[in-house]
Amino acid sequence: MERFKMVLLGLCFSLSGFSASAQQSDAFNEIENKLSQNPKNIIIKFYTDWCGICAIQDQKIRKNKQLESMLENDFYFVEFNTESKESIVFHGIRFENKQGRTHSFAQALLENPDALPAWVILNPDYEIIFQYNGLLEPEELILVLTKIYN
Amino acid sequence: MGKCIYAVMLLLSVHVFSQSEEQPDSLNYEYNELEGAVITGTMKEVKRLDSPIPVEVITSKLFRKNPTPSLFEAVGMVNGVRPQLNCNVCNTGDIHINGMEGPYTLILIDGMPIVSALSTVYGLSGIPNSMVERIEVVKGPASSLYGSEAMGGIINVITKDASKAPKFSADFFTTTWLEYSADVATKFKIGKANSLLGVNYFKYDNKKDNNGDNFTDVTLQDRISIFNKWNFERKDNRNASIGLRYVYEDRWGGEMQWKREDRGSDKIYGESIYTSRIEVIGMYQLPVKEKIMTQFSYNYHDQNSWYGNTPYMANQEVVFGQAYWDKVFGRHNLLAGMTLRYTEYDDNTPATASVNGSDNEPSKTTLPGVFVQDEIKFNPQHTLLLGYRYDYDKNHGNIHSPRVAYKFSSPDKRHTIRGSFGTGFRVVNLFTEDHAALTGSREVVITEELKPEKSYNGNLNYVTKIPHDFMNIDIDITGFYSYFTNKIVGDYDVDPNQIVYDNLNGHAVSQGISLNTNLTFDFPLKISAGVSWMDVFQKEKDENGVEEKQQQWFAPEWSGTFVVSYSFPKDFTVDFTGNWNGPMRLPVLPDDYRPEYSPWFCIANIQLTKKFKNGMEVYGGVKNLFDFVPGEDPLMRAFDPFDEFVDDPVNNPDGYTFDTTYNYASLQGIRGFLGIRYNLF
Repeated sequence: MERFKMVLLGLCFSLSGFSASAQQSDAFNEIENKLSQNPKNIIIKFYTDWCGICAIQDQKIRKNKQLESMLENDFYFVEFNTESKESIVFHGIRFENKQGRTHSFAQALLENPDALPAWVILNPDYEIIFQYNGLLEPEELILVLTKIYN
Repeated sequence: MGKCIYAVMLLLSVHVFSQSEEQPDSLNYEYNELEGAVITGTMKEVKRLDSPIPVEVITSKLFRKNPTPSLFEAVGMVNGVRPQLNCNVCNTGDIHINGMEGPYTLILIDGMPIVSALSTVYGLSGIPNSMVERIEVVKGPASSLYGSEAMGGIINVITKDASKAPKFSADFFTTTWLEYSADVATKFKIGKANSLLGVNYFKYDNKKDNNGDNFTDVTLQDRISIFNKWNFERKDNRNASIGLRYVYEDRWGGEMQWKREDRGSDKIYGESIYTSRIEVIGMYQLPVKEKIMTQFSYNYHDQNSWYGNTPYMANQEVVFGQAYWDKVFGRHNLLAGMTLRYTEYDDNTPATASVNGSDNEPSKTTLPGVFVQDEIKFNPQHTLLLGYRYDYDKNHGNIHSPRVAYKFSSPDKRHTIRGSFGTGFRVVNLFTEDHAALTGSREVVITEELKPEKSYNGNLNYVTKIPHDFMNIDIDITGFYSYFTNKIVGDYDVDPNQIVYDNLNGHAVSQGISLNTNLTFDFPLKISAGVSWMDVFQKEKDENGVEEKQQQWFAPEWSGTFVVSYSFPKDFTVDFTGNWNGPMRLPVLPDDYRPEYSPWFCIANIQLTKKFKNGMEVYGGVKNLFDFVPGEDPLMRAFDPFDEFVDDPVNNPDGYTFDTTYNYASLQGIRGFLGIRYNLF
């Protein structure tokens, strides 16, 4: 029975993995819907699957409960894979990745879209208020988020 | 896209990493270069992790961590790939992948097999670095796409797209051995055509004999190459490009007192080789809705050489054409194509003489083929690749090359498993591989139907990522097994007036495991290291029909590579690079006094680079930091290169003859280097 549960769990994972690509655009749609009722700043983390430092960044966030809850409650937090081939519509503009290299969304929001991880914070009026390429320690990120939130 | 408020960023300035705010290529992020796109595995550009066939990449960035004057040495940065010098006098070499000799490695430029047989070495020297976007390496056969010669592995040199190259780039460096390398490139635009023009010059003209055998330790070289590539802008982003390359090289090695007028002399020994080579490579996508690519190439290679008093004059022309259709049908990603390769080869030896021996009869080989491939993506996790190629050769008849590969990625992309089975083949090249042995007039005799040389390979690859909050570990492990049948060898001993070719009774095996790791930390240190264990041997029947096992020459059981990089503030970077080898079997003479196996050794290099904001970089360091040079005599009987006094039972009781093939490492010891490069975008 125990083994059966494991298999089921694995199946669920693969199903959720299957739809993962569709979630990227859904996430943006959702934010835009929510934004009018509940304006918050939008924080976007850009990454790729192979980026080792991005993986370190994720682990650092995961280990900091305060940071995790700030990202969850005080902001609209999106993680964006810059190599995603999925087109997204953001603030009425369509972004796509025809060549399968760097997504035009990352190119539009970042001065240097190929140095990862990268962070962008937008205010509810879709103005960029923060850009950063590189790893952020949880304390640094909390500092930035607190400043912006207040 | 809106205004920026920088005030928040100031908060970060206390932290050392925030250096990156001003300095674009800085400490704590990863650049989207190493894992960029690859094309060699399937002829379709995909992300490296998505390729069902594992492809290893040397980016220009990695290449700069230990600058070398030619790509020949640079490919040694890939674990399991070994540039091997075959001659201690002329320093020509070949590239061994997983222990198998050079003729089993197919070298491509932009996917085209224009570097083959005669010209293998020269294909990788004389490519200006400024032209190279990246080098892709596939270990294991890939004849199902690339046909003949793709038996042991593929090296594919991808040249830069002219429209994406810097406006101007230059790179000069020199070493304390007085080797000079210069690489200059510029870009211009005429109408809708972008052109990249580059020149590479290398000179080493400083005779050295540190081991005191009166022979040059390192071959003197004078080489120029010119490269010009045009990319045309077309409707709907269609491809069209044409590239030209010209290489001229003058190299010699030999006795220290050798002068140019001694070329061909039977008194003073020297090996002198003049090479000229012209290449044209082009690609054109047909102006139709379907994606149909055509590729063509032509090359002319001329070698004018003397090995002591033996002349070897050869030229080779290769014409190659290929067209393929690239189509996506739902989850099927199809590729179908046809190809034709025509090789004409001529030399001054009897190998290309007519049967009566008096007329010249150049060898002409036409090799047509068709191929088809289907990459089926069941879902983001499961991919199946099926490939098949058919070739026809007049000596061998029909040749079939199938391949099947499977890739699984876990949903979170943390784990990837790839398995593949494929075959490779090589049509016999009766002339170019052992030309040095040819003297006198011989008739070529083929006693039985020659089978193509074939290889069968299976490999299993696992890639994973282990992230922590202070470091990330990437692991890439591959187990491989390749079986090589039927090597075709020329026998000179049957009859002094004949060269008899027949199928070899035996086989070779290359098996092993290679492990690559990348360690990334939350401070600016990066470590990449690779280790290979391999067992490469041949089994051949002796006169009594008993199988004899022999370890392959120059195939160390243990070998490895490493790159350690640390970035300091103010754009200083230190790179510690190198490779190490365990004992490998060496070609010794009967009763040789030199050991049959090499010692363990490590060639390590250290470099410091400083980048300036205007695009300039200054770099310098030490090559062969541990000053490792082989201690044994690299040349047998260096004092008697013409074998004049060999028949001397008193002074030469073992009957040694002059021999140049005992080589496992360069005779170049520790040396400093200094260089400067500049890129203007």
